[in-house]
Amino acid sequence: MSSNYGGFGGTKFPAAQVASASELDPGHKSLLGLLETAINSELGDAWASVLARVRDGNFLKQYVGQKPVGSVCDFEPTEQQRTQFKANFPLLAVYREGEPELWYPNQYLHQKQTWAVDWILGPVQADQIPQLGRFAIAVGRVICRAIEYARHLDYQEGVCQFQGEFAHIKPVSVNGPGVQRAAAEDAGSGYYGLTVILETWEREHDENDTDPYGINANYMIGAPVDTIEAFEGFDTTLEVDPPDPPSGD
Amino acid sequence: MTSRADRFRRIADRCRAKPGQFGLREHAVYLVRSSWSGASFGEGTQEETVVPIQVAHQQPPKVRFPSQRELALGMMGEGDLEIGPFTPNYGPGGFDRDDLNGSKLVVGETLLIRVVGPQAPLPGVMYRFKNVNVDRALRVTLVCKPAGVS
Repeated sequence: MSSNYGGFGGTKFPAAQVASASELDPGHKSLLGLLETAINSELGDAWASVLARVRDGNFLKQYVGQKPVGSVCDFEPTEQQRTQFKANFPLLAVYREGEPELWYPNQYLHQKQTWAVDWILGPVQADQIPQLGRFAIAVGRVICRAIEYARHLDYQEGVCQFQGEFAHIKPVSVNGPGVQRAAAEDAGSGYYGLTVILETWEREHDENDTDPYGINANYMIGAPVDTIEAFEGFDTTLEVDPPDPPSGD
Repeated sequence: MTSRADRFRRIADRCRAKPGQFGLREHAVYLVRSSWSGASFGEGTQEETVVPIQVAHQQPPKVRFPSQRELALGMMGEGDLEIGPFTPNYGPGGFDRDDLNGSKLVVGETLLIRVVGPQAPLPGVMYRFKNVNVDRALRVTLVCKPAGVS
């Protein structure tokens, strides 16, 4: 096979045989893995103590001894999808959302992508919302911290993620806790949870580009020294403060 | 010793087999439970366990596509399908409702319904559950939607 297409984001051309299709979108795989580990590591003990106080007969009682991420999926868990597969709650879903913007700020095509990170708790009863709602807030904050740090000590031995996958990544907004939007039925009822919206920038690169992208250095502000050191030698200049996309006028 | 309820169900089940015995049930229906060999759901090689949904004498259940009237009145949706009635478990016969509610699935497995027949040529059409109707003591019906339609 011959190709001079280089790559786009974390996807390299020509794509070799893959053991899993997730290798074709390695940034997605990194995001899902990092966030799952971060939530489980940072909030595992707190989750155990919350579950210990859930009364018998509640559906959450079956998850005592398990982690705050019971199952993961890499697509939007709509009602259409959820009636097809079995998952443990809480369900963590990370997926690309909407219609990414494409434009040329320089000679390279850029893609601005919105992502949704859903943490879905399930059919929570009103009397549990005070506790579980606060826990959901903590989950949202862990997600933001994990994105800012781009790594977790318990995930792949603390290796910085997203290098060569995203030129830029940041949390944008939080939706909830409340009726989780992907899991919502008609008339606002549905499963309880929280959604964090992320934004990433990916760009195409040439075949011989060896270091075409970097993590936005703005997100290293306030990070521990060893995190910053982990980025040493890594070119963060190309995509720092990337230009705004065209306004559409 | 069978209960009185089981005797009623057996009678109902045998009655439901008659149209099939006359060749009037054209669609076969299967529950398809899938698991994967990969690290996560949907990854690796898929392995299917297929269980036919049948009434007495291994006859297929009634499969009904909505009429224009039902669509116009909103009683059923575009692409919906009604399967049944078939009979709840009664000792040696009937269909185990636990097979329909997902409680036997392992985390990461999927459960769909495959319909094969004149309206769903081989290899058949996959449907997902919309409703499991158990509003009568002697019957269960399923309302399904095509798996690819949101």
